Amino acid sequence: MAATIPGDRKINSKNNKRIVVLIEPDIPVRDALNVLLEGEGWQVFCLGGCDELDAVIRDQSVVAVISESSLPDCTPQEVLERCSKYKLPVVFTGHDLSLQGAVDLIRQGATDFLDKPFPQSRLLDLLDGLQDGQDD
Amino acid sequence: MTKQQGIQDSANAFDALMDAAVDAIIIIDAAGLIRRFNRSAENMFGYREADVIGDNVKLLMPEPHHGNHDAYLSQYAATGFAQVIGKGREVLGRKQDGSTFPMFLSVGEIRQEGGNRFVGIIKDLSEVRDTQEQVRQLEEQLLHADRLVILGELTAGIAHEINQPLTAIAAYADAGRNIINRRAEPPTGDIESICERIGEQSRRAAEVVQRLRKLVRSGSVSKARHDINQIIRNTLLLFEFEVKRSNTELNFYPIASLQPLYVDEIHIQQILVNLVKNSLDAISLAGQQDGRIEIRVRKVATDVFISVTDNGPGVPAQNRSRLFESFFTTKPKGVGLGLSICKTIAGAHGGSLKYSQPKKGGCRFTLSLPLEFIG
Amino acid sequence: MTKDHFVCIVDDDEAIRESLRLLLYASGLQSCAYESADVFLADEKPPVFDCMLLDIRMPGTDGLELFKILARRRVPYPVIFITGHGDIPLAVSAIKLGAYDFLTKPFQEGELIGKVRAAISHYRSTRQHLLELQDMQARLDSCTPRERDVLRLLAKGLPNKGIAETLGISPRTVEIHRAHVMDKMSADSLPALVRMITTLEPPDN
Repeated sequence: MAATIPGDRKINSKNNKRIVVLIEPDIPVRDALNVLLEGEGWQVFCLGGCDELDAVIRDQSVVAVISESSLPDCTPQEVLERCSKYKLPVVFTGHDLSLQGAVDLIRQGATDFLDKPFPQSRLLDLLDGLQDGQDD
Repeated sequence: MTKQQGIQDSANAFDALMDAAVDAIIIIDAAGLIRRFNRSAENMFGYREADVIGDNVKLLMPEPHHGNHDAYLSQYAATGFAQVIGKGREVLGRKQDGSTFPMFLSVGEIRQEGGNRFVGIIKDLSEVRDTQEQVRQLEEQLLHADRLVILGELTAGIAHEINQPLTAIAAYADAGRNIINRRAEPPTGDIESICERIGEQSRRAAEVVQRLRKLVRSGSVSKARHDINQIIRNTLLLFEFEVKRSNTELNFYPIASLQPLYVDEIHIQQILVNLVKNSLDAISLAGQQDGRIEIRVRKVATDVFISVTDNGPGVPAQNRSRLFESFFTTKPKGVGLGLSICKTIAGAHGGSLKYSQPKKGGCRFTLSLPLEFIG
Repeated sequence: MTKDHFVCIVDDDEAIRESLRLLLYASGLQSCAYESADVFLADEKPPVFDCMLLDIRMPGTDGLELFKILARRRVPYPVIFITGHGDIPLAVSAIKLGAYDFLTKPFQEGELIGKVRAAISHYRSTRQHLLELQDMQARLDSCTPRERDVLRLLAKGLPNKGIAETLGISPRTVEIHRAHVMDKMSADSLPALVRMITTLEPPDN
């Protein structure tokens, strides 16, 4: 039985769904990560930017948001802000971020930062851990 | 003074002149035999005067002149027409040890009773040529260094561009492997499509590397016929990343049709990279959000004009005359060689690089290249 | 009069150690240097310092491993990692573990001194609290595993009987453990004890 920790989103106790939101403007990268995640049983909502983010994260089954730090229509800080309303963990990926930039994102509340290119295990293990944390 | 004394004085003066001259002075008769061979000639050619008096001067010449000199002399005797008298020219001389060297020769005629003589005055050009070659090598090194500096400035951006295709490749490869490991009969259609996409992304990454490598090539000038529009497009590809991240607009207006230009592609790229980078830097230093850079190609009569115009802060009046000076820069970490190098390259192509002030402010540099360059 | 601030350097590269010490000295900061994590750990009486500069990549025990050891001990001083160019994953792990800041090689002198001074200043304001935490942790570490079990169940609000049942020991034994724990933790009341344990081991961990 899933315990609820005060302040968290309501967790559906039948939450076997593994859903993540992927924000990635580069189409081949988006497609590749989509293929990888779906192969591991994740359902992926793919976005090219922040436009439809609010609509998509309202779904309570979303486990995490994976977002590129270089976005065409908003800053990573905005992504953190919008997701924090739903206490959603945000994992950032980056292809052009400095070490200081990555460190700053963690300080600002990001759950993790994956420097591109990264091994699949870093992402998949992280997501599994986040889902387990949710089910506890 | 008696006539005898006067003649003796002249002779003495003449001897003194011959001895003192820095250049080699050789006097030959109408048959080409050496009559006088001054001290400098001795040093230059490695013979003592006593040993070469009476020898044919063609001794001092490598082929083809060695073989032809007698004929030149006869021709002159017969026709009174000489190719060489009165004009100086660069020829090769041959030393006693057989080695040849570049020399500058001017020939005059001495008309006298006993038979005309010819006087040759020779300047050894070896040292000058060596120095010129050294300068050429230094210039090439400098140009190369400039390309490396630009490369260093562009590298972070270019490297980041590679991270995206690499990420896609890694993710596709992992996904493919997972599919194969998991299913007894992996769907070949899926695997094929994954492999195709990996291939595409690999080519994408390779292109980025290619652009870099071309820019970094060292070596001497290598001219060939190129489409100037294509050179410009290739250059702009190097800036894709920088432009994206700085929100600057970069617009290219190619020329409709132009014959290929005979240029060194890398050097022309080097000029364009310098100009575009300068514009980007100026816009970014000024913190401008609406930066615009325009590149236009026009043809006017016998020249092609490539202009790079930006709407940045422009060049303050007091700096305009110093723009192309070596080591002049207003950038915080600038070295200030870029523009002077670009001007040199433009000149080496028979063209020019000029600064002008657009009416609406900002900055414009115009590279002109001749359509036909004989060089 | 404030004493000179002291920085501890742990880096396997001699040239880096030397140059860091010189740069710090030029800015009026004293320092000591260790050539490896193991040498540092082996030093039983290291000087008291206000900040540590720690190389993230070292042969043997590397920077991150040393940092984990220090974090377990709750050392109060801020640690600034020295990283190379491609070290983002390591740096991210380190910051999640509590590293204070980073310096990337090659470093600008201004950046080095700036970050060290910022770290020292931050330490000054949090020192008291952190030293208390370190002290508390040391006390907790000095309890036996069984004593820690009793302690944690006490903090959850279980009575002696309940603790005895849960652990499968007699209530009398529980009382003895409890007395030892109160003593070792220097707690003068149960609420004080509970406060201490929830500070050291918050429930969300």
